[in-house]
Amino acid sequence: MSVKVLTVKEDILSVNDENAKANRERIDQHHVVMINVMSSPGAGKTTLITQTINKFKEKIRMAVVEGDVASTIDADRISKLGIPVVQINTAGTCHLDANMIRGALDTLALGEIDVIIIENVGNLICTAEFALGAHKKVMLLSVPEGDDKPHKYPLMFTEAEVVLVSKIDVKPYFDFDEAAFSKAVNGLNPSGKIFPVSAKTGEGLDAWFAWFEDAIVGKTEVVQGRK
Amino acid sequence: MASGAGARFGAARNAPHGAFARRRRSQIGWFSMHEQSIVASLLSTALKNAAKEKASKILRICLVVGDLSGVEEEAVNFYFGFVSRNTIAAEANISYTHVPVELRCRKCEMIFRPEKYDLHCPNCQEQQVDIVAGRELYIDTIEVE
Repeated sequence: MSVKVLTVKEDILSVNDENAKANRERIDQHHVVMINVMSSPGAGKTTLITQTINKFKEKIRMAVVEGDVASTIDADRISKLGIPVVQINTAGTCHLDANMIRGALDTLALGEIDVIIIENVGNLICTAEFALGAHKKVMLLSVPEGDDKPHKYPLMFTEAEVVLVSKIDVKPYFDFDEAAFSKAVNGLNPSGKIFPVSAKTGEGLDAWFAWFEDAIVGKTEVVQGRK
Repeated sequence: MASGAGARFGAARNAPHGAFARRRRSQIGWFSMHEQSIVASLLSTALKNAAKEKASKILRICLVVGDLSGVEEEAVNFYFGFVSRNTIAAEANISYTHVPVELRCRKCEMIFRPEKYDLHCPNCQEQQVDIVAGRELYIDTIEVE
């Protein structure tokens, strides 16, 4: 049998992109706004999400999708706040993909939710590549990780609409150059917003809450026809 | 809301945890990482295109990989060996064309390849850049019979 060369030119992630698109259509039908929160492991995603839930849970109906390689530690923390949480254990895979989110959406009562916060697996590389169908992408970079990270992981800093510089309460102990960091981030992503915060002390959280109120809560009011 | 949420949490947490964990472990064991899901998509894309031509065997898959995609050849080859078993791609070789990262300076329009994680334009020293190459991850061609 003769050998044939077939031109394919097909993106490997196109299947994931299609699934992400389907997720988006599905949440849009239910007027749900979804936000994808990414960072390295230990940058403070869960603490930030906890603070954000406490701030907004009386105003909007929230749910959380927790992505972890293993364990339910983060989901257990969130569940104490009395909101729905879905744990996805990826069993080694270093990111969430759109198919996993589809499975999570299956288990949530979408008609009773305004906002879904996805806490992605801690990773600065592939979480940026796998679309999930979220309306907004947000990332955290903690002070101890260093200000050079935009140079090492440019894709993540290009994709995120908001970059939170977390753990600023420990800044006196580290050589974190905020100006150099901001310059590098905005060099890659001119419209990217940078909020220095400490989710532990509460410092700087007002700016983040203001963005969340406007971009997320405001969007739910628009999609639900209340605005 | 609170009691309903609590009830949903219990069911929701357990269901996807078991389902996802079982599905993934059974496919490739415990060595899962970045390339696992990429290889699954790679295989399904190759098989779909081979089926269109009614091919009986896939001999080669020519993959284009940008340096920002974080894809390692060794890991792809390793997982491909697992997931392609019992398919017409089981004996396929994967060849790789790597695409280096290229940035375009928004000030002077120069396109350059950054060195040592330096995002400064070598022409005007500005640091305002768009990524124009290095994100690629696609099948260029497949050889079938």
